[in-house]
Amino acid sequence: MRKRILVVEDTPDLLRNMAQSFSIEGYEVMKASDGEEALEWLQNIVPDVIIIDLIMPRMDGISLIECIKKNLRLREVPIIVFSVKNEAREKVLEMGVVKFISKPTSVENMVNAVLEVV
Amino acid sequence: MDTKGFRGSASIPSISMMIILAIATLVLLGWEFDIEVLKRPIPGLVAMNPLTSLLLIFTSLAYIIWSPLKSQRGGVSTAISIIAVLISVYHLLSLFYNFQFKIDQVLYADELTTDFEGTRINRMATNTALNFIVVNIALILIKNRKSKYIRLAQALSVVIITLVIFAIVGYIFKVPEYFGILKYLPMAIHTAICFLLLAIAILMIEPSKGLMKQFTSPYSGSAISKILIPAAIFIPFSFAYLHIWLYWNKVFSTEFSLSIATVCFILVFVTLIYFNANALNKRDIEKMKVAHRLKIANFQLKVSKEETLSLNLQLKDSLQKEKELVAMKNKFIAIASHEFKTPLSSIAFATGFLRKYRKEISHLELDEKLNEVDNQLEHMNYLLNDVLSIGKTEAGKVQVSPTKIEIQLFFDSLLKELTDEINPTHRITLSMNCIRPYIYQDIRMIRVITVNLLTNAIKFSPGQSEIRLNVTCTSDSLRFEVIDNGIGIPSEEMQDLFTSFHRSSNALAIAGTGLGLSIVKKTIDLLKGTIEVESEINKGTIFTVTLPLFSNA
Repeated sequence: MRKRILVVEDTPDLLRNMAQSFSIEGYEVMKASDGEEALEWLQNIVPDVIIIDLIMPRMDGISLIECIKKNLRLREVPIIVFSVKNEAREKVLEMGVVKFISKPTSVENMVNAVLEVV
Repeated sequence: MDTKGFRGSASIPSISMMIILAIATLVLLGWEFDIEVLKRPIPGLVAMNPLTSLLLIFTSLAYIIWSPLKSQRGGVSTAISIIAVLISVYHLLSLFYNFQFKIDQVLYADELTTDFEGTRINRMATNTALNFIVVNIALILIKNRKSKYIRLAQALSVVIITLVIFAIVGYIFKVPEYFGILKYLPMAIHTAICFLLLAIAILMIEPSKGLMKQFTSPYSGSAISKILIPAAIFIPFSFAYLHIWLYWNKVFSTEFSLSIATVCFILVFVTLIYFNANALNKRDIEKMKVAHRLKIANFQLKVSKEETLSLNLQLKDSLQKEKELVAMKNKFIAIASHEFKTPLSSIAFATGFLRKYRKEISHLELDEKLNEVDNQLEHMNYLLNDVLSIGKTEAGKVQVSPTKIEIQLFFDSLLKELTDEINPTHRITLSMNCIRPYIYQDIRMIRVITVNLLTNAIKFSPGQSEIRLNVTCTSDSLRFEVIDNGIGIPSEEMQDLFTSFHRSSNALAIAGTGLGLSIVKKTIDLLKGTIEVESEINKGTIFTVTLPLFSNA
């Protein structure tokens, strides 16, 4: 069965390209452009990994991570944070995020990071 | 306090005591070898009793033993003084109660029985004995350095001086009572002088303490007293003597000579008082001058202090501005790095994607990715332009240059551009109400204002779809409203709304540099227009811009 990956990113072309990359790599990809959209997906599906941007409208990355970590069904899902907000690295790692990847990064980096986690 | 001036006076007691010792010794020698002039310097007056000279030797020795090292040998010195006191007390008692054993008749008893003054045997005078008691008590007291004892010792010295002067003056004035009813009073003239020296010596042992302090201090009173005290002793004495001399020589009647003495008295005292007043006044005037100068100096000091204070304030102010500038720069660097990194990460991911997966995607998709890269590059360019334009407007490098604007055409193309560029999430509804088809204004600046306000309206109303733009123009003004149904602006953020790099507390999750509204405000200021804001949290915001128009290009 294909691994499922949820990508939460508010920059549309970056979201599209990430999704496409993971599809080619053989993942089943779900896209969300902010925290609320991500929660809609998570109501029905438990993915194998979640990639989250921090700065987003409506519901930002930190609030989303809090929601996930409070949910018994979802709390064990590995989360990778992908953001420009380097100063938040320590905080999100303390919250239980497995990896912090600083923007910008290469496609290889991102793909390898996901491979290590799932 | 200046003690240097009184160091010399410390030797006055020693010298006095030495003189007393010498006189008393000479008198004893006089008794021993029967030298009349030593016993009795002025013929016809009483001789110094041998006991008196012995007690004088005791008293002066008591001081001489103690004085060189002060604190040491105080016990021996005190013992000698006590012996002198005891002898004197016994003598006084023997005088009053007629004891058989007369202590003043022990030494040179044979000589004394032949030494008559008139019909009277030479005896030690009552006041002499009293003086010995007082002087030795004073000496014992002064060795204890407490100021109250010093004061008491000095007061006792003054008593002695009074008694002695009384005796000396009596001799000089040939007081008849000394030869009559008060014949037991007179002490020998050199005894009197010795007591005077003793009293002065005791006064000068601690010249800067006790009563003497008032005469030896560096202040005006002491300076004047140094002149007045000798005068106070010498003047009454000399006038009284003048009076009595005139009386003796029968130049004038006693009443007239007394009148002359009195007049002289008055004259000299008034003169002294005059000089005293003069000296005190001079000092006061000097003091007032100094006080005045001090006041001026104080004032100058105060002025310079105020100047320093205001300079400090200015410095503080510029330091504060400098700090704000640095803070703003840091804020800018933080925001700019975030803002630039977002498009950069898109570009990096897109180019990496193309390199890795170009064989797995179609040509159409490849073109799409390249377009995305172009778009992101363009976005970065806009960001840079924003930063540059803020820099330019702040440096005052922007000039207003009005051109003819076809108003309907301008807004139509602007909206098309915006809806094409930004994703089609929002629809902008334009309503125009203009009295003529064209206006004269700086087209670049109007573009900057409207584009910024409209992109803000889109950015800050996520999940909403409608933005309204109402344009009204009259013959001399252009007014437009940008209305959204977005997140709104908190009222506490209103005052910083147009500050560069300031970002509203509820807008932090939405990308932005905090430059847009700052650019808008600065541009409107350049055009001498106004901007108003109405906003309600989670209901929406209305920006109203009014710009004056030029009559032609």
